[in-house]
Amino acid sequence: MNDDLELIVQRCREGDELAWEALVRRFQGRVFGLALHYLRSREEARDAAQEVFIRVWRGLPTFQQDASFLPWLLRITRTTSIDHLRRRKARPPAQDLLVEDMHDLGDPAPRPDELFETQSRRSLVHRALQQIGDMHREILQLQEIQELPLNEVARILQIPEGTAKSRASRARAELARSVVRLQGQGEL
Amino acid sequence: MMDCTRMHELLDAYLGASLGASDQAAVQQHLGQCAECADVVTFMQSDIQSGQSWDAERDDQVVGPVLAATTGRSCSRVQEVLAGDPLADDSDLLRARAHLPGCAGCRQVSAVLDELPNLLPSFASVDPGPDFTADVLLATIERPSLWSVFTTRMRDHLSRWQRRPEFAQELSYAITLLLIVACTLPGSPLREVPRHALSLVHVSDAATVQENGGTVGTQLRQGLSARGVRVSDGMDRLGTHFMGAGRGLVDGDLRAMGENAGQFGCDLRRLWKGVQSPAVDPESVCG
Repeated sequence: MNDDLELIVQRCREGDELAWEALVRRFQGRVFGLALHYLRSREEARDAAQEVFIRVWRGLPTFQQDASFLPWLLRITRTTSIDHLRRRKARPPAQDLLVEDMHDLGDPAPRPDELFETQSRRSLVHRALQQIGDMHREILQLQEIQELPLNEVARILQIPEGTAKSRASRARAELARSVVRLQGQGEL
Repeated sequence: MMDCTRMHELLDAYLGASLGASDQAAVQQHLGQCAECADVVTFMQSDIQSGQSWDAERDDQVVGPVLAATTGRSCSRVQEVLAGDPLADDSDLLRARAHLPGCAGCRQVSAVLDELPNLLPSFASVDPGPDFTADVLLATIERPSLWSVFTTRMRDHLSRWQRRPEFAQELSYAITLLLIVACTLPGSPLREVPRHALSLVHVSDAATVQENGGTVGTQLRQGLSARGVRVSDGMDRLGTHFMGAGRGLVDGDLRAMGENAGQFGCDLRRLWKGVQSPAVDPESVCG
């Protein structure tokens, strides 16, 4: 955990409201993004993300200071999202998210031509992501999108590291094939 | 020494003669020491020199039927290796790269795999909407009520006040002020107490003690009754025993004074119970 984040988390544990607001602002996009991945509904993802932060707030006093905050946060996000899915008592509806919904909060503004090219590639990759299996999409979400280290991904998914590594490689290959397939459909 | 992975990265540039001098020398040194890489380079150079490209058409015509009759096409395995299969070693990677020039599909997949690490992290963050932060803060940080803020602050002040050395003096002063106010307010049951108490201090005979003591008791009783406080008949006994104790004191009869003072204490307890809880029978308080 970097020093800045460590300090903010420590302040939050002491009940500092400003630090808590800073923490929420810093991670709300990632929590919402991961919840959206599982729930595929902005409304539900918003409720789930809010519930995540409530759980985090209550769990901060017992959070081990030497542990990594982001994996802990994303683990809570995954658990909460799965709870929501169970409550819904059905698999997520097979509807695509709009790529326009995706905003990288940290991106500097690119030039219009770059923006168009990047957006079209992102749109393609995003559509391809919706077409691969849930298991592969989940591991890509954690390892490639949220950029968690492999050992944390394995811990969250409760699988051995070797399994996580091979699953991630198969997921990358499936995604790449899906992108190529969509490219081919676009050229026809 | 250069490893096979690095060799594989420089392979295309080496075959295209576009390497810098130092990389060219490093590649040649590696080829001199690694038979597998040397085989791949020899194979690819011969292919280039023969003017044939390892394209999909040739692959289908020549290699395709052979693979179909034996192991099947290796594209799926190639793509897994390129995607980072943990079971693949450097030589697998090199062979997978060697597969690419002849397979358009795998080349496309390889290009996408190279692109993914830059694109995927941009999906990590999604804006949840303008009011999200405020909603979370409202749901997490509990706003204390005004009353709890007031009582907390008062407790803090009182605690700090008690620790001050002047606390006892200030408390005595405050109690004195309260007594003065209670004894001087119009209509107070204690209004006449100071005057009669002063008379008691200056008494010289039993008749004066009896007169003033009785007056104090009567006025106190009247004051309490006027406020709706239930006063039992024990009030008469209270006055009688108070005067008896005073008479004993003046006459020097300590036994009579002690008995009357004891009874006076009992009367006070009866009266107090009656005031605090009207349901309690004052007679049952003190046997």
